[in-house]
Amino acid sequence: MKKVFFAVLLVAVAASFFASSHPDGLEKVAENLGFIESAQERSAPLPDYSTPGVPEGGLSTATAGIAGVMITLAVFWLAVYIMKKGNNGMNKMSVFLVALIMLTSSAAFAARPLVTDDYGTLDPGAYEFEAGYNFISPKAGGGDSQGLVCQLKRGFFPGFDLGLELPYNTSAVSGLADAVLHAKLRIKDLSEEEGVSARLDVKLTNGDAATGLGSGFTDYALLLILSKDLAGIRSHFNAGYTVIGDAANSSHDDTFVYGAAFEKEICSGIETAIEYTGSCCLQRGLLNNVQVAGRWQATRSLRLDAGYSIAMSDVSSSIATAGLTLEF
Amino acid sequence: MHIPDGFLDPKMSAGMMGAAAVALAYCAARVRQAVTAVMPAAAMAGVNKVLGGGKRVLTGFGEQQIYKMGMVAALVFAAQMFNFPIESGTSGHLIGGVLAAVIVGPFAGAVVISVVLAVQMLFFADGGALALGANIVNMAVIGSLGCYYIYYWLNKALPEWLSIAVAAWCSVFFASLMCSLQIGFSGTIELGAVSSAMLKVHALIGLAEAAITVAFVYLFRALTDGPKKEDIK
Repeated sequence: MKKVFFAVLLVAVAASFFASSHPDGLEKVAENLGFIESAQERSAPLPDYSTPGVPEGGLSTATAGIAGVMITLAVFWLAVYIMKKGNNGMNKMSVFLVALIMLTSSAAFAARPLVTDDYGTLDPGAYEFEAGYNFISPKAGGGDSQGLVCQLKRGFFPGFDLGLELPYNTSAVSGLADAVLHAKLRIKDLSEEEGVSARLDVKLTNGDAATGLGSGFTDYALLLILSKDLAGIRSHFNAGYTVIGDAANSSHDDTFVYGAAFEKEICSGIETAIEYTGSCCLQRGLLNNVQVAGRWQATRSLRLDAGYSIAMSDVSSSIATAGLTLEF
Repeated sequence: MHIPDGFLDPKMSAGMMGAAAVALAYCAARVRQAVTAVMPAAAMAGVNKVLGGGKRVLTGFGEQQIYKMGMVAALVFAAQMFNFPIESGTSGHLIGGVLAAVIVGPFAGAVVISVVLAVQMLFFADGGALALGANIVNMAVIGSLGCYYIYYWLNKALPEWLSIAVAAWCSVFFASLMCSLQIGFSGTIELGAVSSAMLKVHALIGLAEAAITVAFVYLFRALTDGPKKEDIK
């Protein structure tokens, strides 16, 4: 078997240096008959048998080829390992599979678990569903709470989408809290992923005010969003003003809100983000949070995420969150 | 011949994914049966209570067989990287279905090619994620499992190298035919146009497939101990 192994490596390296760069049979037919455009590009760790970072050519292909040979062999070594270990090996297999999918899926644009919004809007007719579970614990102590937040968004016409956010509280007082309607309009496109948008939020009064799930008043918020690429880091800046409907409540008055988020894809399909969000109102003082988050494009349409938002000021709460985003 | 995403409509992709899953499940079951054995009663005495009776365990022969499958998969992967030029501005590369099936048997061969296709799809962006089912049907189920039997029957009358060569040519031809049908019935392009163009170019690629397959089968046998009677048939 050792001899075969070296022969295989030799074949991989030789193929890398002598392979023809012409399109293969199917690609050529697709070119000639004019349906090559319908092919969708995919991203992968070693796209088109080349190693990222190594100058294009035989060497880049050869390293990719050797990596491919090792990965292929590893699949069968792993099969033997699992068959020997029984169920215990099966668990390790699922870890491996998850790692494999994480390595190989394509990247996505900003969304959950960040509070800071990006300037992008959904394409007309496209839907996006977000669901997340939050564990909230106030820094000053007092009752922790948990809740599920779902949001359904739909693009209506180019540059405009509408979302409905439904928070469901699952702690001591459980039930549907006040829903929020988001309407986002793209104002200016600077480049494909850069631009300016405005978002109008309307908080409805469906929640039960008596149990504290709702405020009983309609709030309005207007948010300006700027997305910009800063040295390869996607950055989003939000600034807005919230008009609180409940004028009598002295602990809650009109609030200036702001946030900045920075996202970076660390490897294909995995993004990390850090954001700073805050709000400022006279009665409560400053609320500041810093969130670190990770996002993983599990499949083309499904994204999983988790984040931890650290309370920086005494009146704010730390929030641990995990959730998913589904596009369809 | 790796179909990228976008050439097939969702119904075709899903149908092929289902067909590939059924065929692969059967192949995997056959391979598992061949590489494992029911643990003997004596050895089971202590373990029986914990695991329940009749547990199949990997045999020594089975382990070697899986390593052999791994080597064949690596060989097919490496060989597929070699794009040989054929007529003006076109290249072809090995499928390796018959190569794998002749060395490790038809069912293991189909599994080997499927693993190679999955690795290429996941790590090298070669072939679409949604089209993986179609690619497995074309190259693993038809190209490896199906065309093994062409080799098997021809081998009874013809010299082995010739049966391997004919089966290898057939694997490219039938895989490209199936590929054209999938693209044609997806409505991407007119069936007649795509099938005549595909078959014409792949009839040529098939000749190279035949030559490479024969060479690599004998090379593999020369580097190992040659064919074994117990190979998974």
